[in-house]
Amino acid sequence: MRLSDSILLRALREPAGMKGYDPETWDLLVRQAHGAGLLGRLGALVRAHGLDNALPKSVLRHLHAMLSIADRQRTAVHWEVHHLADAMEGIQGRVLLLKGAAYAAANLPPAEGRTFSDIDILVPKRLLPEVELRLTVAGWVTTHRDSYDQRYYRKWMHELPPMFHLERETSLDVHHGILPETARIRTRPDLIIEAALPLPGYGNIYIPCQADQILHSATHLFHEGEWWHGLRDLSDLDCLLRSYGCLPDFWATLLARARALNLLGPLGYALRLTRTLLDTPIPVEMLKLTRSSFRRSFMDALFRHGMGAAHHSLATPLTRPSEFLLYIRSHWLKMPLHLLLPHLLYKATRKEEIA
Amino acid sequence: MSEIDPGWRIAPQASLALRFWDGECVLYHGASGDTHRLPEEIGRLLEQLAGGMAEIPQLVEAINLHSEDVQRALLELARLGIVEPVQ
Amino acid sequence: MKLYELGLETLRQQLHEGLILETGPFRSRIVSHAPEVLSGLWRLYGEFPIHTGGFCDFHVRVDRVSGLRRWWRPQITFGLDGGEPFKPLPADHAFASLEWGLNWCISGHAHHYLMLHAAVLERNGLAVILPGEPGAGKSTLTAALVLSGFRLLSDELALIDRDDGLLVPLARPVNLKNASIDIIRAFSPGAVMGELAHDTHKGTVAHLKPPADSVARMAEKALPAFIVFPRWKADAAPRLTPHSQADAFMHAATHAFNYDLLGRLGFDLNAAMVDRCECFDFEYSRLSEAVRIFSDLVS
Repeated sequence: MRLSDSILLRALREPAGMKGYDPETWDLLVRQAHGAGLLGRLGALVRAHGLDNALPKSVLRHLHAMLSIADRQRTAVHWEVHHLADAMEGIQGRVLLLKGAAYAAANLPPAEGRTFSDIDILVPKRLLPEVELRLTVAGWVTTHRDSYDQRYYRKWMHELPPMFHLERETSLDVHHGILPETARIRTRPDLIIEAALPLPGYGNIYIPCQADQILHSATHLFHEGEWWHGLRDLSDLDCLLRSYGCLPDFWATLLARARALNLLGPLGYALRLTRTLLDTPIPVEMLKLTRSSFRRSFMDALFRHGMGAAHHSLATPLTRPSEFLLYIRSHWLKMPLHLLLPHLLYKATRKEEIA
Repeated sequence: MSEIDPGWRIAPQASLALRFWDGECVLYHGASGDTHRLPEEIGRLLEQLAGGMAEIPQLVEAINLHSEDVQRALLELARLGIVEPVQ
Repeated sequence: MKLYELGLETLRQQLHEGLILETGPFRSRIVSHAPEVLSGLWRLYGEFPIHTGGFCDFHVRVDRVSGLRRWWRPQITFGLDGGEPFKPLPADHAFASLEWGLNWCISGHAHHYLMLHAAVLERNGLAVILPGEPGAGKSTLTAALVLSGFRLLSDELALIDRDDGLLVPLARPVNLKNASIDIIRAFSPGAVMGELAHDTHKGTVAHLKPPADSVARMAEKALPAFIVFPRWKADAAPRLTPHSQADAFMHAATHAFNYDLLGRLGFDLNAAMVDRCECFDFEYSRLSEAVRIFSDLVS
């Protein structure tokens, strides 16, 4: 079965159609959605389309359960951002919330029903030492004490090792770029920071502007290794594109921005996949960005089979090899080969530290 | 309001819920998701503040606690982000 | 249709393909080739409804691991929808692992309910909640009450429905361990129990068959009326003493599976429950006396 024929993607493309689903269909849909991290989004769609009373009660209970989790996480994000804003008071520069945390804190379209685990922030590279100091004073500690991992994160990647707040037991990832130092593609985090929008009520905390929200999500999707979140990230993109797509001049702005940030490649892939899998309305001129070529078709197929990692019913015979290739690809994009092989070898042989 | 004795209020967005049983109360602090168990008087103090900003002498009169205890309670509640001084 | 109506052979076949078992508000689709699971279900779940299709809350599997441990000191694993949340266990723990696995599925996912770690019993329309305290003898007491005419809602999971604040039955077998097993056999020689599983992480474990009446009434929710903290003490005379409601609230909240997760809803549901209940500490040494005190309490 092709991924695009799965009941999960059909439900996301046509939420109103859920009204007519029988119990067996729901049985598969709830499990696919749960595996893909999209059960909460499904619950939000059911609510938005007024379908609560059209569903079997047992299904509704599962949706409500997930929405409760999403609500609790939304509260937790607001509380964390409140403390983050306190810790950053007076800092000479901008601190940006990224992705899930940004959606939740700013009540953006993908926030409804969405669950997530960490808070990601982006700061100017020159501010890193001060940010780290302020966080430490406010009760956060660094993790990954192993000196190898510390070097991996600081020197080669685009973030500090994850920070952990002892009292609230929450995680914070501090980035200074959206792609690592060692990546093959270079982008302009300074431009993202410059164009950022302030978060109402939180002083010096910002979120990326609308076009940058989309570009970051697309970049994250195709340069990271978290394929089991692939469908969820794609759905986030679909939410953002549907919401912003009808704003005046939006597509021209998005295209210009992609060029300025050197992220035309990830954007092209993102538009192609959301259109194919989720029927996202995208102007034809934008789709021309993704002119077909063998390499592009191969990459697209690779991503689609890789995304089937979300649930065993979505997997294709190609899913396992695809997953591995994509993981290699993500690291390949992040690190030059001479650094990559020793790193993967090290990761495979080191014993995990028990927290 | 003086500098040394500011007025106090419930922190905006605190989202509190209180229940009282037999000389004690439990407090839900919506903004943090935390639940606290408190002596009844502290709960009554919060109920007072929920009615509007107040200074320590007003609070002492409304509930059965000494001024120092009210002060200490307010400082602790402020540390938790539940109340805040009004400048 | 009830499970016992299938007959043993058909039950075995259905377990190979997927048996859909109804327990309270949940339907679980169970796949297993383990003989202990077959005999445990046959012996203890005869009165439970089974189904042939529809929506299932959990898709679970208890089967032998592949590879060397399939044959040499064989192990089984518990699977939920293609994933394996636990380490493998010895094969003769298969039925116990199904029971623990189902509890884990519910407590980890069923957040429509506020879920407390407590036993729940009902009589005369009044439900008694027994919060779990390690070593307090809660399971033994629960079993004795269940064998003395109290309806069993659950021995482990108190489920409070967010829609109406009522307690929701599961009516599943009562988990007994070590000394409790012999105590209950002595208390009620006719009690039906499953096979013993030795050397589990809880010691020796067995399950008590729930009364047919409790199973028949699994759709009947109950009104919380009492919260009782039991404590077995050698040679103690039976004694009920009042327990602070604020303390009961905090105890329930800290020992719940999802109190924090439910946020304000959790607070409101927990508070409403405590509001409705008289709270007690209960000290006892003899089960027969305990049964008498509880019977008086609900009459």
